[in-house]
This record gives sequence, structure tokens and C-alpha cells, in this order.
Amino acid sequence: MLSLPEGERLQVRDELEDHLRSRVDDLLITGTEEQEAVRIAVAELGETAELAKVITHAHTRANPRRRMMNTALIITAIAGLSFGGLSLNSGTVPVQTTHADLRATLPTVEAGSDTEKTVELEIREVSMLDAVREIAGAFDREFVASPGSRELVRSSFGLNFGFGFEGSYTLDRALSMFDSVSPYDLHGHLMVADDDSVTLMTVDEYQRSMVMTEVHASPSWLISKGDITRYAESLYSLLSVKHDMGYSSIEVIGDAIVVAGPPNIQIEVRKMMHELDAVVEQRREAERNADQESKIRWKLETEQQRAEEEVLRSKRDAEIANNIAEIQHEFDQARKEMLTSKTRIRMINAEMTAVDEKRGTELGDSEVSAAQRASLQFARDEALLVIDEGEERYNYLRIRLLDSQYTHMFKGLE
Amino acid sequence: MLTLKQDHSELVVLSVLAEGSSYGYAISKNIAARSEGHFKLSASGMYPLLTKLEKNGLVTTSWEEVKSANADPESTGRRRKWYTLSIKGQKQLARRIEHHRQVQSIIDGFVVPAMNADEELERGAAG
Repeated sequence: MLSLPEGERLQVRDELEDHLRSRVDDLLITGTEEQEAVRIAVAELGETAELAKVITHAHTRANPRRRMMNTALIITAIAGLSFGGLSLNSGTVPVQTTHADLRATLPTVEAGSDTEKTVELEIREVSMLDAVREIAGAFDREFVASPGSRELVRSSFGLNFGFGFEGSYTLDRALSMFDSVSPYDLHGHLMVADDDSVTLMTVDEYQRSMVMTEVHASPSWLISKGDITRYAESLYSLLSVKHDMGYSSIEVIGDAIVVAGPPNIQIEVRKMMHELDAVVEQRREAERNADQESKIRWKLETEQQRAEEEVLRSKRDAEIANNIAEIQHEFDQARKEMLTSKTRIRMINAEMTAVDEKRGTELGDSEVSAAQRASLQFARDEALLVIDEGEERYNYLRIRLLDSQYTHMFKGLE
Repeated sequence: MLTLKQDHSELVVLSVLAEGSSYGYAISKNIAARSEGHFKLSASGMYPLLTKLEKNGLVTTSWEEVKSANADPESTGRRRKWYTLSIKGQKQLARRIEHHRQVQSIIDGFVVPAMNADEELERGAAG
């Protein structure tokens, strides 16, 4: 986590110190009392929290966490100003403006059921450690120093507080007072109170304590491991546009996406993943509908096609049946003719035989019978020709039909 | 007591610096004095503005070691940050003054006739 660079922080502090001292000098010249002059100058510096906040904003890109921390360090820097030649040890210096603003910026009370409880406090010139213990004790809590803050406690908290303050305070305000009047720099640290204790911890530790881990199944619409990795990377970079990712990380483990980070990051991730799923689902739905539509259309087209084919087939069948009927008819005709011719020849033969027999028995009629025989002969020759033709045709047809695929549809082919 | 609005304060601060280099506290004192206490640019308004001016190159800065008039002679001095108007700052000031004059004359176009009408009424009422 980045902080305002040391050099810049000190410069801002120096400039504000110069302003304060100059103001105090001017007031002293007009005859104002030391303490009063200091009080006025500090009060005039105004909402120092606002001031520090705005200055830091001008220096760094806006980031609530960073601003909070820098506000804390600048305010405590201001509170730690040493006014050369002016002693602030006698009596109390009510630094009301400052501490009211501190309350707005330093998270002092996290949880606790009695945050509004007010206690009469009287902190005199004791060590910082004793002072904070007294405050904690007055609210039935224990003062705890986190591992990261033990160094600060060891080095500074043993020293004399220098100030005192008294009055009615809630725990919140009492801790703010402590922070604002302590002469030593508490930058980078926070006081966090819960039901049992008041803990001094570093801002870093505080951020870390807010970190939680959530495991999400990777979206069902991602296919390859590469896709899942890219998804996670994209989530991370989208988040880092708005958030400081110093305490967050997104990793892919197996098919799961694991997110570590403070609550606000977790909420944001959940929201993004949910919305992405919704978008994909919408797309799928649209595709399914389009798919459905095309399926219906295809079905209709196929049915139409089938109907057309049906009609064509019927037509063809009808034609075939027609042709077959014609051919059958021709075949039958040919057969009949053949049979008729054969019968006729038989008849002619019979007649010729009769004529021959008659010629054998009667004398004088040989010319008549010869003529008769000649015409019969002639008729028979014709009939034979006809038979030949008919037989040829009959055989031809028979063979052709026997060869064709429609054999079974003809009668009398044997 | 009127509070200086953001665009006015830039104009005012640049004008003060146009008269000579100065430092934070002196600038705010200057402004309060010359407006006869009517305009007060608080530290929480002025310092961020000065930071912005510095960042945008409208002013250049330098540090001075100072000893407080009341300080113990043995004590270490403190550091004072001085602001000087840069060329870019001069140009910006000129632009802002021009803009200010334009706005002024447009408004006067409405206000002066209204003022005159008002005076007429008063004179009428008195006479």
C-alpha cells in the first residue's frame, strides 16, 4: 500500500507549521495571551481534517483508504507541532475542532453495544501508556497493542503525555482526544475498539484483518483452463481501476476462482460474476429461441418437401401403371391374334384335307378342286405370315417383359 | 463574510502573486486585508489551491529557513515555502482577467439599466 511520500508529507507539515506559527506571532503582537493565541491559531486553521484530506487529494490519486491514513498522519503531525518558545504544559488546551474532525476520519469504534456511553474522565500528566489504559479501563476495556504496534508503544508510550484533558466523553471521543493531544506521532496507526478491548494496531494490520477469502465455482460457460484464467485476470484488472488491490488477490485453483480481499472487494466480485452469468444466460436464451425457430422452419420445409415428393411419386406410379396396362393390353392382343391365326390355319388345313379327300373320289371336278385348293393354299400362306409376325411380336414382348423390373405386374407371361 | 468561490480564489491568488512572491500565511492575510475582511480564504481552501497551481506549473516554489520573532535564539528555525508566479501563471492570470471583464460587462449590461430604473423610482418617491 502506497502512502504520501515521506518528503511530501514533511513539506506539507512544515508549511502548515509555518502558517500556525506566523499566526501566533501576529496574535502575540496584538497582545493576545500565549495560550489563547495558540488556541485561536489552531481553531482558525479550521477543519484540519478537511484541510489535510484536501491537500492529500491534490497530491495523490483519490483513494479513500490512502486518504484516511494520510489524514491521520497529517493530523497527528499537526498535533505534534512544537511551538518554539511557547510552552503548552501549563493547563489544558482544549483542541476541540481538531478532535471532532479526527472522529470523522479515524475509525475508532468498530463494534460495541455501548458506543454512546459517556464517562467522566480526568487524564492528568501521565505517560501515554497509562493514559490510554485509563481511558480503556474507564470503559471496561483492556488496552492491547498489536504485534505491529509494539515498537511504537515501546518507544513512545512510556513518555509523558504532556497534556491532560477532562470532561464527559464517549469512548470514541476520548480516543480522539488522546490522539489529538498526544505529542508523539501516531502516523500509520489506528485505535480500534470492540466490546472487550481497545487495540492499537498499524493501518496495515487493520487492512489485513478485514481481508476475507471466498471461493467461487468458475462459470459453467467457460470451457478451457485458459478461459478461466483470463476471466479471473479480467476481473482483477477491472477491480483495480477503482480499488486499491494492495490487500486483494484473485487466483484460479483447479476449476475454482478464489478471491481474497476486504468485504467491499468481495461484494464487487460477486456482483460482477452474477451479472456476467446473467448476460451469458440471456445470450443463450436468445440463441435457444433462434435455434428453436430455425428448427420449426426446417421441419415445415421438410414436410413440404415430403408432400411434394409424395405427389411426384404418385404421379409416376400412375404413369407406370398406365404404361403397364397398355403393354399388357398389347401383349394380350398379340397372344389372342396368335391363337386366332393358329386356329385359322388349323381350319384351313382341315378344309384342304377335305378338298383333297373329295378329289380323290370324284372324277371330272379336278379343275374346281385345284382352284379351291389353290385359294386355300393362298389363305394358309397369308395366315402363316400373320402367325409369324404375331409370334414374333408375342415373343418379343414376352421376353422384354420377363426381363423388366415390372415382370411381377404382368399376367400370362408363362 | 463572503467566501471566495473556487474560480474567484484562483484569480485572486494569482493576482496577489503577480505583485510579488509570497508565502501561504502572507497571501491569506493579504487577501483578508485588501478585501477589508469581506473575503476570507481559509487555509483549507488556499493550500490545496496553491498545491494545484504548483502542480500545473502556474507557480514555482522555494524554501527558506526562518526564525520566529519570538523564538528562542538557540532554537532551530522553521521552513517557509515561497510561491512565485511563473510565465505560464502570468498567461493564465491574463486569461482569467479577460474572462472576468467579459463576464462583468455582460452582467453590467443588465445591472446598470436596472440600477438606473431603481434610482428613478427613489427620486420619484423622495420628490
